[in-house]
Amino acid sequence: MTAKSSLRRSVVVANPNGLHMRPATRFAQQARVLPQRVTVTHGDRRADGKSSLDLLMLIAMPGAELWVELEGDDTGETAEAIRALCDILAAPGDDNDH
Amino acid sequence: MDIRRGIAVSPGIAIGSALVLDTEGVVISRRTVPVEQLPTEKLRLTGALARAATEAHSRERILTEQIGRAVGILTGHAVMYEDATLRRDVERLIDDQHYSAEFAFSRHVRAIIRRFDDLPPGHDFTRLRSDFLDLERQVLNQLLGITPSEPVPLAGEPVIVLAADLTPSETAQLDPKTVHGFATESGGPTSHTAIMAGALEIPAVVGVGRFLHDVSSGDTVIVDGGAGLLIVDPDPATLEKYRQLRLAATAESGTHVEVTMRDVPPITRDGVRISLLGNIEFPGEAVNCIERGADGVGLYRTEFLYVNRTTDPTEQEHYEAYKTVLTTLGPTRPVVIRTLDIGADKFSSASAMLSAEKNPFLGLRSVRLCLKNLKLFKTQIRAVLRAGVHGEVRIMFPMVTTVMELRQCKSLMAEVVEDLEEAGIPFKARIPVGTMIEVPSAALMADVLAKEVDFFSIGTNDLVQYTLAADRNNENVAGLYNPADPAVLKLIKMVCDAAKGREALTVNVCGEMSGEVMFTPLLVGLGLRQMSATPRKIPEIKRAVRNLTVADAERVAQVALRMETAREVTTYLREQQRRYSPDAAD
Repeated sequence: MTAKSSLRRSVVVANPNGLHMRPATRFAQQARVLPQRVTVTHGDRRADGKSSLDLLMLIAMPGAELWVELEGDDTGETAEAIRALCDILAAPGDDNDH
Repeated sequence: MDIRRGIAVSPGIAIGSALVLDTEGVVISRRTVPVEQLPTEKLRLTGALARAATEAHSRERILTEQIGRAVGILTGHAVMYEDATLRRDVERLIDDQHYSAEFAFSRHVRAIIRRFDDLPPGHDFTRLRSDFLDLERQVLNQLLGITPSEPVPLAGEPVIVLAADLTPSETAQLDPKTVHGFATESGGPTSHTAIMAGALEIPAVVGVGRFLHDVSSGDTVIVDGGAGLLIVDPDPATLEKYRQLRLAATAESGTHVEVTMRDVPPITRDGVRISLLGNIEFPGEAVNCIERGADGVGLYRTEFLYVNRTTDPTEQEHYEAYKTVLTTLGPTRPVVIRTLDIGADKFSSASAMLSAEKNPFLGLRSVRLCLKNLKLFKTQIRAVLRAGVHGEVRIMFPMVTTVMELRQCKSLMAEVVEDLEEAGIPFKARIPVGTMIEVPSAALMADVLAKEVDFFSIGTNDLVQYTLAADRNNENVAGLYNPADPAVLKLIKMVCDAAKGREALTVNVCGEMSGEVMFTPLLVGLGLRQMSATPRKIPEIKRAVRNLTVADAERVAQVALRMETAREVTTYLREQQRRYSPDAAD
């Protein structure tokens, strides 16, 4: 059973270099495997979350507040997916891996 | 003849014909195409992007194998080639403007770069410029059928690569067999390019400033990577001088010395064993230490784990790198891991901590920075302790200025030990702890520091700079920077004296001074029984050690310590070198 849904979450960019090449790459790679449409907004700029180019063009500096939105079929894991995506933006560096 | 000064990043001399890499100028002949050809252009674009992506993925893999850890930059490029938005935007230009695939892609990338260029100077995103120029070049190569191995030929005549800057893909492609040296207009001592050059042992000079318009491919050029010089179109006398220098260098570090010295021990003529260790930066270099007959790794710099990335390395990344080095060296050869030793400006999580420092070399750097950023520091210490189960690991703290700092480091280590014990994670609790002696205050207080540690390692590069208050990269004062200065010798002697009578305390020298054969008798004479240098210098030092007696060395040290100027010391040591390195006297 699936239903159409839309979920939004705000996140503050914590990486000291801003939303740069590597976090943008990680974000896009992770977003591309999701069935939903992923949109990231920064003020009046919008980016396709599956495009690392779009994400870079947001020019999001450290401290910038971004909104991440997932739209489409609710897989039941949407909340988890949006949380994981926001974690990439909120990470000051890689989290300790254990 | 034209001599340019840049920043010396990788020593050695290279002479050859110039190969100018032009990062700007791929000639696009067809700008527009007839309407019926538009679908073909879009297909060509799709194909080129796919091939560029495959290539970037594979280069990232090769680079990872070469240097022992993932860099991630080329993966970033690959993900960009696969980007649907990028392809759609370029396809739109083809459809609307009837542009050729080449022209459309180039126009679009240039528009993106302009967006970055419009940002305020110093803005971090402006660094992406070279990445996008790289993307443009790679896709145009694919579209125009330029083979990816060009423009640097894989075989044939050796060349010296000259470029404005080397992009990540270009750097990954350099083959030391063909590229004997390189020089770039921009770049700094800690740039990716510089670090790679050192690891690949390619003589290199960066940050030369604009010179490309004065040189063409085919010109004879000399790169003096030790002095930081680029010489274009040398006159016959200069060319001859450098040929001789290169010949001498090849004889020293060439296969003859390496083979004859590899399997013999570094023992003086009167039977005193001197430990010779290697300095390394990347896990992949550990094998160089074994090949050159080193007794272990005396200095494993860990900065590369931190630089050129947007996040701090994880404990697991540290651990994997250390484990690689330890397993390469085996169960008995020591590996001295130096904790992070850079300024806050060089890596991600701490850079937000400080505004630009007016005097960074006297500022928040190295162990000072780690003690203000305990999470970062503990992550590294944990990884070192965990890696300890794989071999003979030692930990060393850099730039210690007071005994209080050293005590703080040790109590932090004790905390980490407790954490690991509680978590039941395997680790080695008792590992030797050492401190670098590279600040004059540490040398002066060596007798106090000696009570706290298992070993000292004298970092001569910083010790010379801080003692003589001179930056060797500043040409106006570089003349003051001299390891042979009597003030430096006195400090080194002080450190050795502080260790006397403490059997368990070893003293090592790990700066460039220990790699200079001229200083070998002096250092042994001052009391050092351990030296650590770049692996390729080890056979040469070993030969010098084997030609010495400790009594002779002590006499050399006594004479040198009575001298008043660096010049006198240098002249004297050169004379002595002719006696102890007979080959050099020929």
